[in-house]
Amino acid sequence: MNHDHEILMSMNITHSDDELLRLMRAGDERAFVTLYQRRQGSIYRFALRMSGSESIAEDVTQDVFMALMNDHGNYDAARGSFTSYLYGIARNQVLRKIEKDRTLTQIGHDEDDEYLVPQGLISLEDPLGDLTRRETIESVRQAILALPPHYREVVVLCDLQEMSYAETAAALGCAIGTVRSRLHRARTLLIEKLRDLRLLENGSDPVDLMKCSV
Amino acid sequence: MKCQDFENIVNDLARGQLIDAAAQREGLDHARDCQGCAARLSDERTLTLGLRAVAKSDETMGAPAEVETALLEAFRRRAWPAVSPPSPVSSEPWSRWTLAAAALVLLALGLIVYRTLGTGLPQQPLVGGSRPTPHPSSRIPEKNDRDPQVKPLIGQKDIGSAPPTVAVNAGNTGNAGNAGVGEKRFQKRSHRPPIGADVRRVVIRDGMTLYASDSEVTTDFLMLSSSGKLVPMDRGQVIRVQIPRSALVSFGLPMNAERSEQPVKADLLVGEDGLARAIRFVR
Repeated sequence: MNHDHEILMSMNITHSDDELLRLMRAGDERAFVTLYQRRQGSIYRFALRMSGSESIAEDVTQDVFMALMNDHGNYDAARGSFTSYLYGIARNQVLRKIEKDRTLTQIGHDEDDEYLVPQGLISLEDPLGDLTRRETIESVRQAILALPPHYREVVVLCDLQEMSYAETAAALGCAIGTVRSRLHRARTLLIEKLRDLRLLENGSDPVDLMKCSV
Repeated sequence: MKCQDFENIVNDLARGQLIDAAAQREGLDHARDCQGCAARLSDERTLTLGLRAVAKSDETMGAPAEVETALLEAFRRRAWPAVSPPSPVSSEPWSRWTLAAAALVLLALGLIVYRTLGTGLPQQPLVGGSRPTPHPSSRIPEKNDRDPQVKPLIGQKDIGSAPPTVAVNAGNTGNAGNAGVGEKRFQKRSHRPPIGADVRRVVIRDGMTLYASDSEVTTDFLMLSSSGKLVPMDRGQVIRVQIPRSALVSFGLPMNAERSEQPVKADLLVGEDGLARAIRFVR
């Protein structure tokens, strides 16, 4: 058991994603486990931030790695990083599930499945400040979830997953300029929503700014 | 800088992205002079802080262990392709014809070699017949090989009785080239071809290595020439074939009589003219 753990740790340090993928496709279970443990967190969080649902995030994570087992070499390193490839699969899966879930949500809303700020983030030393902070985070999260999917995904990838414009473009299969313009528009929408929630005090108006000629 | 230009970089400024230093300086200067753009930058920076707080709040979250368990079960159920070295026999049609021709040439030349050298081979008394005695180190170690008839004579070294080892250019063939003249040895090949290398076509040059799988044991290449003289060759091809086990006897190698019906694997070294020049036996 310890020996296996040491091997997994070693593979995690010494093997790139591409090498692990190659070994995995040859049937190497340890390579698969290493790859999964290295990437599952970011895929899970991406799906969670896109959908706001833990059950969808679990399903998407599982589907992404199942797809990886069955993809028969669709990944092409020349077209983007392995991470972008995974996000591309996850994005397709999550959009499909969101669309399906939207229909189901109209029938019955399951509050237990809602994604809330983990309780561990609330400190006992400053409960009031933490409560405010928690509410703020929750408001920002809800504002993100309210964005149209093509704006939401660029905010999640660029701002929450901290991917570069190029990596995001590879994951979404669009041009870098498209990513930049969508992100710009998405952030403007977010600012407007947060201002409506009085989380932003300033009165800047991006639309009016366009008319400024300083 | 105009406000429109500022709008183009305000995201990057607020997100702390690397942008051109001059553009960054001009943008910040513009925000100092323009109240609207200053407010805009402030909003963007506040949003960035809010987004980072969201990212921070769930940065340790991940899929539950059940997901990994389910995936692992699926991985184990799946039939993964067996990892094996590439087949030495080319699937191209022309190589099949070469294979067939080479096999015929091999049998004919093997017969010639046997008749030419056979008389010089020491005879070992056998139950029900006689057979040539190989050098002890040249036996193909066969599984369950308990036949006392094929046990080599310990200590016997009749170098002259064995066919000469092929030598294709001096100092070539890696480990195979280390065998002394007349000495046939089975060696564990430690060389691996680089990943993606085509091991089927072998260029015979100085320092060349002939690859065999790590799990295989081979003899050195035995020359297929009735004259015993080396015919120079610049290029060649190694072809994996299966031949009757009785061919082992033709080269002074022991044969397990109990497995005489089973073919034995061999690598043929074929020149560009299609003639087989040498052979090595593989287990």
